[in-house]
Amino acid sequence: MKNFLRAFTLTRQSARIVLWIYGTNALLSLLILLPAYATLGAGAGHSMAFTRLLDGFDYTVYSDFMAKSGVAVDALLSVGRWLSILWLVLNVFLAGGILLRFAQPGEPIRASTFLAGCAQYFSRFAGLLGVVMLFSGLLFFIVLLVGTLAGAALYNTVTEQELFYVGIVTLIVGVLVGALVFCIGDYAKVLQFRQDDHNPFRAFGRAGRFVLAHPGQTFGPYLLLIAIGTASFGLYFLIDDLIGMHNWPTIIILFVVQQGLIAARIFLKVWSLGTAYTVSTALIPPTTRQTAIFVDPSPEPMAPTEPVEPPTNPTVHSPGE
Amino acid sequence: MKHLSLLAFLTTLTSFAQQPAPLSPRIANYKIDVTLDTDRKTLAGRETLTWRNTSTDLIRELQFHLYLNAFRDEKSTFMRESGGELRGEEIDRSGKDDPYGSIDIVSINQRGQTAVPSESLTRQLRFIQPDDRNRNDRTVVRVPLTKPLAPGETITLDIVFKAKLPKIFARTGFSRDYFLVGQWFPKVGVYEPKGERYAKQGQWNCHQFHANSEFYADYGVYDVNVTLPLNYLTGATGLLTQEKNNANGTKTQHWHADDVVDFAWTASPRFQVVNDQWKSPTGHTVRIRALMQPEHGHQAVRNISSAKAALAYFDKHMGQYPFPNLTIVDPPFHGAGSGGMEYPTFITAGETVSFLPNSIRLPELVTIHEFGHQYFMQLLASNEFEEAWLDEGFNQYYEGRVVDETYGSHSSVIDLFGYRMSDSEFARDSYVHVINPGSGPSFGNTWQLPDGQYGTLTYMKTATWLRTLDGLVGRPVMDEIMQTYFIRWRWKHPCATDFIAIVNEIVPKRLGNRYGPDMNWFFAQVLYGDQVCDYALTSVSNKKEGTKYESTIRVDRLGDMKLPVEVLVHFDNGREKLIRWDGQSGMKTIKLSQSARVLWAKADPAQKLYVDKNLNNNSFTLEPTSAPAGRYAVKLMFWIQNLMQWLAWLA
Repeated sequence: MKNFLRAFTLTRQSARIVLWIYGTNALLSLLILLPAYATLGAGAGHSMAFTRLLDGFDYTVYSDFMAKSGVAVDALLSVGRWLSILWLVLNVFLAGGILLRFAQPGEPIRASTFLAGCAQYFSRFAGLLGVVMLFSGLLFFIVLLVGTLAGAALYNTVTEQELFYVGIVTLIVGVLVGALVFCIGDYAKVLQFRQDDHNPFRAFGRAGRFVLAHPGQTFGPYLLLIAIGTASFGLYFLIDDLIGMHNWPTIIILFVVQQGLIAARIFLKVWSLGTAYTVSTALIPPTTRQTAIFVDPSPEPMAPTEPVEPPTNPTVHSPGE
Repeated sequence: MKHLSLLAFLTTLTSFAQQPAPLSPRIANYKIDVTLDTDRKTLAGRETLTWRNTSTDLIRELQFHLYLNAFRDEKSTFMRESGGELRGEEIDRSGKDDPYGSIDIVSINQRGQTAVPSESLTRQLRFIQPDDRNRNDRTVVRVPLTKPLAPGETITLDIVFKAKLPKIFARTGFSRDYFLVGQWFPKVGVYEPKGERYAKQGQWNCHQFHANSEFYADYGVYDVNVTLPLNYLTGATGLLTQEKNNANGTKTQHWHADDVVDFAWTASPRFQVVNDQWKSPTGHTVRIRALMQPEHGHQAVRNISSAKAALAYFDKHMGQYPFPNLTIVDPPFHGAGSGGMEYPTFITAGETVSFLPNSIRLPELVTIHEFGHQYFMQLLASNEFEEAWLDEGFNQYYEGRVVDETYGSHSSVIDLFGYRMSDSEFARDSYVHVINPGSGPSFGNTWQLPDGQYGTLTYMKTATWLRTLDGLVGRPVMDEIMQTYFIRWRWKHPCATDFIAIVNEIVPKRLGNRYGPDMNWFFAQVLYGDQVCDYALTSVSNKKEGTKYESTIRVDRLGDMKLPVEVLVHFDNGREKLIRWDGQSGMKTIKLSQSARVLWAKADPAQKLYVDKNLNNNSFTLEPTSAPAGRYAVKLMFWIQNLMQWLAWLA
C-alpha cells in the first residue's frame, strides 16, 4: 500500500504530464467530434424530428437516420478505430517519458526531457507490446478454448444456468488472465527501463515471475485501478441520467464531466505505471550492470534524484554508445 | 312408470337443450391413441378420423399431411428449402441422437356401415407433391376412395401409424427428455368447395411442408389418449379429462378439445407447473397453466402476466377468447427450436433466459405474439401456406398494439441504459430499412416469396401497413373493421378479399368519401404491390409582400407509393393550418398568404403513414436547433475516448 500511495504522489507530482497526455487525447478526439457534429448536423438539416432526441433516445429517429446516413457514421466509427490504434502506439511511446519522470521526481518537468525519454524507449517498448499481445492473445485463446470445450462437453447434460456459469467463469478467467498479462507488461517495461534490457521476452519472463511472486503488491493494485476506472464509467451513467443532455447548457456541463473522467482515466493509467515502478524499485535490488537509460538533451548534468528513489543507472551515455 | 318415462324424456330433452351448439363446422374429427416411447423417441398411434363432406361435390379421394416426413432426410422439400435451419436453430447432424424424424402410415381402413366390412385403402396410398414435384418429398399423401363420398356424407377412417420424432430444431420433436409433439399425426387437408376462398371449383388444399410456412386445417373435435411414463408431466391442446395409471409403469391421459384446428402436446419430467387464471369483465374465466423449466420458475410471472395482458386486450378490442384454458410451455434452452409456436389453447414461450433483465421484454413479447395466434390462426383459420400475412402479419400488428400499450409506447421491448425501442418501431424498422423494402408484396404463397423475405413481407410489412390503415381510418374505425372481420369470419377460412370487402364496407360508411368509394387503391399498393412510401417536406420560405407574407411550402413524394398526406403549417403567431394533399403527384407546392410567416411545416404530422421509410424528412423548420447534433457528437467523442483509454492499458 505504501508503494501504491507513493505512486499516487509521484503521479500527482507529474500532473503536467498527465495534462499533456490528456491534451493530446482531446486534440485527437476532435477528429471525431468535429466531423461527427458536421455529419449529424447535416443529417438533421431543417428537420424537427431530431429535437425528440433531446428528450432521450428515440428509436424511430435513430433508425431512420442510420438508414440514410449510416455510411457516414460508419466512416466516423472507422476513424475512431484508427484513432484508438494510434493512441495505443502513442501510449507505448509515452511510457518511456513517464518512467523517466518517475526516475527523476525532483527534476523540473520539461517537454524536451520527457519526449527524449519517450523516444529512447519506444522501440524496446514496442517490442514488448508485441510480446504482451502474443501472450495475452494466446492465453485468452486457451482459456476460451477450454471454456468452449467444457461448454460443448457439458451441453447435453447441464441446465441453462449451469451453462451460463461456465460461460461467465470462462469470461472472468479470460479477462483476469488478460489483465495479468497486461500487468506483467507494465512491470516488464519497468525492468527494461531500469536494467536497460532490450530483450522483451526476457523482461516479460522476469516480470512475470516477479508479479506472480508478489501478486498482492502488483496485480492487486492493478486490478484496483481498473476497477476505479470502470466505476468512474458507471458514475458517468448516473450523472448523465441525473442531468441529461436536453439543451446546450446541459450538453456543455456533461461534456466537462466527460472530459474530467477521461483525464481521470489517464491519471489512473499513469498511476498504474507508477505503481509498477515504485513496487519494483522497492522489491528488486538494483543491478550491478551500469546501463544507459537516457540521453539528456540539456547541457547541464542531471540533478540527483530524491533519496528514497536512488537511480539505479546514473550513467548518461551519448546516442552513439 | 308413465311419469317416469315422461321425466326421462324431459331430462333427455333438457340435457340436449343444454348441450352448447358447436362453435365451428367440425369437419375433421379425430380420436387418437398414441404411445410415446421416451427412449426411442417414437410414437405408435391409432387414429380414427371422421370427416364430413360439406361441399356439393362427389369426393373421390382424400389428401393427408404427413408433416413429420419433412424431417425424413435431406431431400424433403422442407430440408432443401431450409437447409436444416429455422429461426437460427440448426439440425444437429453430428450429435449422438438421430436428428431426423418421419411418419409412416402402417394401415388405413375405411370403416364400413353396419354389416359392411371395413375396406383397406393402404395399398392405394400415393405420395404427391403438388407444389414442387419433388419426388423425394413425402409430406402429402393421397388416398383414393373406392366409392366416392357424396355431399353431406361422412367417412370414417381407421389409421395405424408410427412416427419417429426429430431432434428439435424446427418446432417439433425431442431434446433429451423434453418432448414437444406437434404436426405429429396423419392430418387430413382442407377440401375447399367452389367459392371458398379462391376456389373456382371444389379442390383439395393440401400443400407440402415448406421451410417458410405453417399450417391450414379444418375445425374438429379431438379426443386423444396419450400413454407415456408415469413420471412425465404433460400439457396439451384442450383439457385433461381423465388419467389412469397402467401396470407397466406408464399412464394414459385423455385430452379433449372442441372446435380446434390442431392438436399438440408436450411431456417432460422436469416441468415446474404454475397455475393462474384470468377473468374477463363479463365473467368468462380462463385458466392459465405455465409449464416452466425449473430454472425459469421465477420468470413464470412474466409469461403469465403478459398472457393476461393479451387476453384482456383481445377480449376488449376483438372479441371473446372462447376456450376455458391456455397452456404456456417454456422450452429448455436445448429445445429452443420449439419455442415461439402456437397451437390451439397451447403455446410455447421463447426467449425466456435465466438472467434476462425485466427491461428486455422478449419473453413477454413472444407470449403475447403466440397468444395472438389464438385469434389469427385458430379462431380465424386462414391458409398459412398461401396467405401467411393474414395470420402472422395481423398478429404482428396486434402484438405491437398490445405490447406498446402494456409496456410503453416507445420502450415496450427494450428500456435499458437509455436505449429504448417499442414493438411497433421494431416492426417498422424491420420492413422499411431492409436493403430493398420494395422487394415484393405481402401477398403470395410463402415458398414463392423473394428469397429471405418471408419474415419481412409477411410479418413486418403487413404489421406496418395495417398500422398505416389504422392511422388513415382512425382507431375506432379500425377496431370496428377488425371486430367485424372477427365476428363474420371466425370458425371459417377467410382470405384477403374477405378482409378487403369488410374494409370497403366500413370505411365509406364511417368516413364518407374521404378515401373514395373503396380502399382498393390502398391494398393494391401495400398488399399486392411492392411500392415504397417516402414523403418529404423539402422547403419552407416566406416573402414579405406589403403587410402580408407569401409563404411557400414544398412537399415531395420520393417513393412510388401514393397515399393521402396531411400537411400541418405552423405560423410565428402560434396559429396552425392543416392542409390535405392526395399525394398523387411527385411534388406539391403549397402557397399561403397570411399576416404571419410560416415557422415550420410537417408532412403527416400524426405519423399516420407508418409505412413512410423516412419520417425524419417529414418536417422542415426555419429555426433548426443544432443541440441534437451536439449531444450525439459529444457522446460519440466520449465513447471513442473511452475506447482509446481501454486500449491504452495494453501499452
